Amino acid sequence: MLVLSRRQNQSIVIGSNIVVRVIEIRGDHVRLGIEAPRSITVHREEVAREIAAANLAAAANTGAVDFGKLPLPKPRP
Amino acid sequence: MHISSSRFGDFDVPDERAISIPGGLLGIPDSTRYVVVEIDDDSPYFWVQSADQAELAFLATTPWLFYPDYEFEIDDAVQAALGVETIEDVQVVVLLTVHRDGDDVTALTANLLGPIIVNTESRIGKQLVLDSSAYSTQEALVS
Repeated sequence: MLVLSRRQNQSIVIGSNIVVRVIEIRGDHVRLGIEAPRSITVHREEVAREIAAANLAAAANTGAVDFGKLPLPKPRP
Repeated sequence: MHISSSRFGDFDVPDERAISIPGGLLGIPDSTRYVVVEIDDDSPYFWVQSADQAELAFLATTPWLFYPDYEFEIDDAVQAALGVETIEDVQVVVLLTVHRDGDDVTALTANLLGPIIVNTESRIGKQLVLDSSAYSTQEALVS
């Protein structure tokens, strides 16, 4: 892993076309600006982790399901 | 395609009905091929059975049946990766978690933060990560 120190308003460049800039540092809070082609997806790590956890919880459903007891959508006009 | 499943036994489906999710779902990278197993025509629910792992099957639904106001944006990268241009090209599936107390189902929650979108022509799908949305992975499913 590469570890770099940056000050406010300094940036790092990843590859030829991704720039990550430190916009603001306040206490333990860092605001980052990310310039990247729209073909690059950027996620907060914890959001992806949360979805992975939900997938695993959903996958753990191995018992029988009585569909007669599950909610049905509201009828809509 | 021949499917072995813990829940439904062994069965065959036409290859064109399989859904391919390159890289798999988040947290489950080893299962990249799935098939939809309908419950019946009237049910809002269906199963998403893995073709790679017999024991892996998700209860799922179409989100707008229960959440008519559900909305999200499919970004350009995903549109390009899946080759989708209009909403008609896309099927949206959300996975459900079944919460139990012993054998009794106590609640169902829907993962609205990570919907799966499938190109209905190519049958290639991807699970989205809706970063800045207000939705959660555990939205209560109520009628």
